[in-house]
Amino acid sequence: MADGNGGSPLEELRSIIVGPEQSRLEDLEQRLEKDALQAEVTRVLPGAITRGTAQDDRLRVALTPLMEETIRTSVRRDPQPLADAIFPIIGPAVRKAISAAMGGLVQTLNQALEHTFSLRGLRWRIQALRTGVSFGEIVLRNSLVYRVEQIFLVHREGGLLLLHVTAESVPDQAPEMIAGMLSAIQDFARDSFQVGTRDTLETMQVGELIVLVEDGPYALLAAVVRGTPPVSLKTDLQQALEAVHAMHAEQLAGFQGDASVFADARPVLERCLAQEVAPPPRKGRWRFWLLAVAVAVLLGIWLVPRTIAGRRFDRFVSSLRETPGIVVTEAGRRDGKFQVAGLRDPAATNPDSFLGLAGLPKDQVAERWEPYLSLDPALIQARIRAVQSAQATEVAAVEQQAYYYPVGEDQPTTEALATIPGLASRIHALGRAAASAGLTTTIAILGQTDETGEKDVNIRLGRARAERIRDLLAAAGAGVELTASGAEPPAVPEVDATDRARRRRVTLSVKFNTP
Amino acid sequence: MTTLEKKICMMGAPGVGKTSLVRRFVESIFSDKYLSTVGVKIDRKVVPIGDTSLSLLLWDLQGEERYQWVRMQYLRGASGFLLVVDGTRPKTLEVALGLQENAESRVGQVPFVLILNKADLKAEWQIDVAAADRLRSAGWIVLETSAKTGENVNEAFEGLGRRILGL
Repeated sequence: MADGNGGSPLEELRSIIVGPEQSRLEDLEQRLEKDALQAEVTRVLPGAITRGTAQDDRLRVALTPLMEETIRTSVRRDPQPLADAIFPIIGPAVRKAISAAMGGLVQTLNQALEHTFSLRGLRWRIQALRTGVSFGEIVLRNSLVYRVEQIFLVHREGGLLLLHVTAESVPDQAPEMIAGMLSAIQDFARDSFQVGTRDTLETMQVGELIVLVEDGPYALLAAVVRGTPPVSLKTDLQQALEAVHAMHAEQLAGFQGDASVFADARPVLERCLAQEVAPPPRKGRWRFWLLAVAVAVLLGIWLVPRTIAGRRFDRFVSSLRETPGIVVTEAGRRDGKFQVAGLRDPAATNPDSFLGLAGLPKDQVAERWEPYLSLDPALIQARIRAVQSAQATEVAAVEQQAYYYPVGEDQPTTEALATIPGLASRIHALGRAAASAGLTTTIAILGQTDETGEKDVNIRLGRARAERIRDLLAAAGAGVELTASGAEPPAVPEVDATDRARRRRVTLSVKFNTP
Repeated sequence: MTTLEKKICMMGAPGVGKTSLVRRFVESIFSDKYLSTVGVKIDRKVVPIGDTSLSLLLWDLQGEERYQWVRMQYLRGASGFLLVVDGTRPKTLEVALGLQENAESRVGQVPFVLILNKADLKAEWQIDVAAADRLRSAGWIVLETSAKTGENVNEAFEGLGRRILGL
């Protein structure tokens, strides 16, 4: 008979009799299979992970989010286990960072002290004061000039060169051997001073060159720098070294002498070939100063004599201005020559006489004088004296002319009349000569008589005689002021008839006056 | 052609001719006085071996024994070394054997060549030739060289290079 489940009666009976035991048995079988499976998985998992990692990135890609989330969750829950785990790493890293920072600070302080007390620092301070730029900026301009000339990436284990880059125009001289010696020197320093194997000789200085060394787990980076590198360069080198380690961790760890695998790190190293270019040094500044001195000398050569001559000319002009009879209307320099112009009284001192006193050569001064007559009393007297001196003969001739008269007569004799034109002409000449000197001429005509007769009559007769001569001279063109007057006979007694006859006369005297 | 760099060290008692051998083998840029200052002088020789251009960085270690032991640090990273003995001075073989042990403890079992130098003075040799033969029998490469005549010098370096490359 078949039941509703479709099973045989024997199976139904078995289920009834041993069903619970069979169920427990199946459960046990499942558990045993699961444990076996886990054990098997545990056995093969490390190998599978290793194999999977070696084949491609799929396992790493798959596990990365899980690992990240696991770490994140763990840190959120309790950060202490992770902190404890990385403590051996983080401690030295922090110490190294602090050491680098302190090193930079000390370097900065050293530079500041050096700049403060050195001659160069003093020069920079003066430059700062002169230009108005802050001292710090001047120091930066002058001290942070450097050039990273070479970078060596050296394997830490054997000192073998992994990569070498150089700045432009830097000779590539046996970098493999230099890398080896750098490594040897590191070993030498460690051995000599008994320091730890992770300690590094970080800086070497030779002349203008500084070798900065950054040490990593598998490689060290050495930068050859010319000049004074900035503190930031050390950080750049650290970052480059870290980048190389990140790119080639496996190749560095298992390095067997094939350095070609590090070729793709060249751009990383080349980024460290930095340089700080200072403002162009003032080449030719000495030329500027030389030119300035030359110009100053030439200027001096040209200016000093010019100034001296100018002062002498000023003295000359001052002397002229103080001189009576000279009026300076223009004084200065034109076309490279001194010019002086004005009015000059002929009687005034000769201006050229002042040139010698002032020390000026005559050929350096062009003079232009217009004649004029000064009203200075001294010059007037001088002019009178000059005319008198020049016309002394003519004056004497006029003054020696005398006209004699018979008793009681006021008419000149025929002989006398004949001399009138000549006398008038002579007087006219005198008048013109005096006029040229700014003077007027007066001819004083004096008529006299003998002692006979009344005094008043005699004076009238004398004046009549003078007036007649005056009129004759005027009519003859004497051209000057003519005065006529009569005078008493001389107080000296007459000696004889001849003497008496000589007293009946008209005489002339010449006078020069200002207008 | 593959280019490989390998560091090899020259070791031996003072006066055995290490520097002379190197001078025979390479052109140097560093002065010999580096040996007495830093304790090492480094030279380079490129040796073509098969398809490989082998760049040998020769670390010539100062022979003064007092420092030789102290500066075994220079062996770090070496792919092989040359032990140099002066055939006229038996003591130098003992020094070489001691250095070999020391080097092996420092860098492990790396290829090396034992050089019996001053072959041009072989009539004056006093070393135990039988001992050298025993070393040969034990698998050591032992070469007789003369830095003076150049005998076997290239062979010594190139032989070490081949050993380093596993050829």
